[in-house]
Amino acid sequence: MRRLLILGLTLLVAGCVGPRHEESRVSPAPTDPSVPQFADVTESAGIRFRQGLGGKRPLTILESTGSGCGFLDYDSDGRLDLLLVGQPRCALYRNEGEGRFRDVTGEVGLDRDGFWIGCGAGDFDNDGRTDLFITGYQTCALYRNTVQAGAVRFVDVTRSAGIQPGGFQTSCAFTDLDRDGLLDLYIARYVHFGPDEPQYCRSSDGKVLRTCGPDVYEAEKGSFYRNRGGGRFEDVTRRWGFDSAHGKAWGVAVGDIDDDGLSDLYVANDEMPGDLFHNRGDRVSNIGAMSGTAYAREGSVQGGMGADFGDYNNDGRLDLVVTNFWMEPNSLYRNDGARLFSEVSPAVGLMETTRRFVGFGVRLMDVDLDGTPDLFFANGHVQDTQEVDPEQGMPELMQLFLNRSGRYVDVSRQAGAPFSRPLVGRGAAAGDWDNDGDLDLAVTDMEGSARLLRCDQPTSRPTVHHWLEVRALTAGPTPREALGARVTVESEGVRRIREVQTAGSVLSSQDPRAHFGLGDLGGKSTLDRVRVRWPDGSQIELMDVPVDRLLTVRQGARSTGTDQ
Amino acid sequence: MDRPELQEWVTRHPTDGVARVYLGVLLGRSGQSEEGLHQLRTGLKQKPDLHAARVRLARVLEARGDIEEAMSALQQGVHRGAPPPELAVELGRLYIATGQSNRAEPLLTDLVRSHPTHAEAWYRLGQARLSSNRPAEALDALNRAADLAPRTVEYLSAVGEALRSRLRLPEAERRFRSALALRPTHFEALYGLALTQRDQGVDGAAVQAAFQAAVAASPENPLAHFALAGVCRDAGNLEGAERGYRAALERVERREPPESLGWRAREEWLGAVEAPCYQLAAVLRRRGRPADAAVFEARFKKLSSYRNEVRRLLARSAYRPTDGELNLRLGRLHAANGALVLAEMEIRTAIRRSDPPGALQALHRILKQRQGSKTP
Repeated sequence: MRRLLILGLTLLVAGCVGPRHEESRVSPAPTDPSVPQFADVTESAGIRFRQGLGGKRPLTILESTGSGCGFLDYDSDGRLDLLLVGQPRCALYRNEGEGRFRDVTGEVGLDRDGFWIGCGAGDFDNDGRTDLFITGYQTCALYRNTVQAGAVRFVDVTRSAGIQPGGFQTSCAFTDLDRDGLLDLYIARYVHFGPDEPQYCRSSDGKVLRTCGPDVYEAEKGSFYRNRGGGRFEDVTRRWGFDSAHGKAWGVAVGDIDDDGLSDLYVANDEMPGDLFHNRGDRVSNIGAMSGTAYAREGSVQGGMGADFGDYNNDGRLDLVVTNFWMEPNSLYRNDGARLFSEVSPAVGLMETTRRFVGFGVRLMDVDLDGTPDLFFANGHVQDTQEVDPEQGMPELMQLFLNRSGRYVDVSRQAGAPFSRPLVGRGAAAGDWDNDGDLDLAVTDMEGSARLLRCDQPTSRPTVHHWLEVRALTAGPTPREALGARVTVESEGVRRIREVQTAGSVLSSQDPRAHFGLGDLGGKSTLDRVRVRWPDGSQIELMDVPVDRLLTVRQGARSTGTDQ
Repeated sequence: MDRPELQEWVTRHPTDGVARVYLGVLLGRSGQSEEGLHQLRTGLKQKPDLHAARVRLARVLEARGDIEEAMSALQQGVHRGAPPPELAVELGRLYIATGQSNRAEPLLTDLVRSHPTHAEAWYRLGQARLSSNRPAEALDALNRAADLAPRTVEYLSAVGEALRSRLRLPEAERRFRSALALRPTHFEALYGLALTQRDQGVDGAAVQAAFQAAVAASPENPLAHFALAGVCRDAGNLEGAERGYRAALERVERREPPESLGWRAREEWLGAVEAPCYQLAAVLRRRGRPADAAVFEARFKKLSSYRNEVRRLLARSAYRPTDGELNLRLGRLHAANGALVLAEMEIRTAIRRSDPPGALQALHRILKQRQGSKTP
């Protein structure tokens, strides 16, 4: 209700305050035995990836963009590898097991210079190997994953695929919107920026040059490429109705909001209304405003950055979380059905706790395996105006909120040392890279080292928290991750849903496996039922499924595999 | 001496500044505000050290929307010799109210240095720091104010709000309760307490009751109506939500600021109108009344698009200060949305900056329209 405060109340000024950065450098609180611990294993894993411009100030809007990261299994060895996007070069780290990663950027052919920003992973040519799309400023690359002389080699097929590299691209998403079995590609764009556009803007008191906000620039809009097969894509942005986007986009999330079997798309826009594209099979309708997801609670536009779908209240409907700019609380939109959402941030405890940060990366994920999705935020400001405001620096703390009966409790200070070290957070990816059943994290720092975090469940928990990871693969001789599949697990009448997606967060690509925390299951060690609804609408139902393992389900197969 | 006698006295003694100021006050009270203002202005020219009169003049001017003149009157007083601190406090308050905290802060910092026991100066300094996003320092200043005047409800409440914004919720709650112990119907404290309880995850019914208490304390204030509607909506009480949002909208509409206060004030007000419109559309859609919802949605979209476009043009205009074309576009946009005073201001700026083609004609049109309107 921030805007009504202006009407002659002293509360107005009190409502517009921000964090004191010195206070942000908190010491970790005493360990709470119920909170999972995150350990920063970047160095021990062998990851050395730094970004930054040597403290240059001010930054242009392009320089303050940062970059993303992604978990993907590029070599199909069952272990998630780590892609770190950046300027001038990306890096791919192969997961060698035992907590070690090796830089394979050069050997796989990803060592091309460019202003790289975001990434998406998906097998667009259905050959069973995960391909890559990397967004950038006036550049982009569609990399086909090939095997040459027994080794993986990414081949740049952007031009032959018919994808245009122009503009200021941010996030992207592989998703099969037309359900033809081929992954299509959505590419988000931000603003029109170039040498002829404003580079820096003055602070409100005119004293300091700083990064311009998005208001100064014209919006650039995203593109939707339909996969025609044969390695060719066709720009069908207008035909599909994606030209109704507002532009100035950061994050893209994919999920079936109305359970009609078709993947829908949410695009978080910076100080523009958010776009919720409802998929009608052969085109989309932008129902952002009508659905209640385009604006903040007060109807104001927000600096939308990251976005993610997940069912936070286990009611069988995908809810939406959007990270926002400073002094704009992150928005949790509860899906009320009938494609209507309610912004419930105050009711779930995300109002005051998130407004002090500039939120970027976000994941709705069950960190403590209790069966309810928790929230992770990677925060970092876009400008450093300490010359006029000593309380506003760029590095900020990451945040972890545990879902306790539908209310989000900030446990950041109890979740391990990484949560007490500020960073200029941008992209964030979640994935179980050590295959131990809980979700780990990768986070990029715009002015520092990317971080690889390992999640460890508390050992002193009084009850065991079970888990299940479902790898859903399409039918055919070279099955791929069935992006868009919906997995439902049931036990004792409790139903939980996840979708197989790599999109979500911002600039980043996620572990495609559907991850479920299951709580103690009342002492049982099996789930009553696991159902997978495939992207083509067909379903498979498995009964009495053992938990605490990775379950691989192949479409059309008579049996399933358990890899652990 | 009554008013006619005083008028006669002033006629006979036209250089008696004190009498003029007193007459101005009496005229203002009797509804003759223009004549009253004239006497106040003239009286202060003759007797510039009448500081209380200067504050009064500034407040009258501010209420009329003549912000520049109000500010100028106070500045003249502050820059004369050794003015009483009340003048600087008043000027600081006006700076804050008009979004110029960067001017308020040095003024008030100097003031608390020379008058370290002036509670209101600390209070205003706290407000200035809050609006410049320096909450920790703001809290220090507000605490000083509250220490100096521990029974001033406004200071206690402001400390509570600063603590709330720092997420020190239990402490904030204590401060709000202290304020309410002194004045149980103090709106800011009631409202702050309700927000604090909401943020602490207090039971929904209790939060609802807290907002209801705030509504009862200040039924004309839209804030609590809006917040109460939100609580109703979250609880699935759509009827209550609709009632609350409608109440908030009505009250906001009654508070339309004069255009002469500038775009910032108007933008804030438009935003405050948008909020209940947006929520009403959502609630009415859920209540199965799409036609009613469409009315509010259309209104919301029009306001939102106007506001966002002005914001975009202003941002570009600030970067290109000699590009009058942007001001001309702004002026036309304001005119199309009925803000003729703002339109005139922008088009005049356009002419001053680069006199783009069509600016003069646009100005003529607006002046003509303003002549035809009630407030030329």
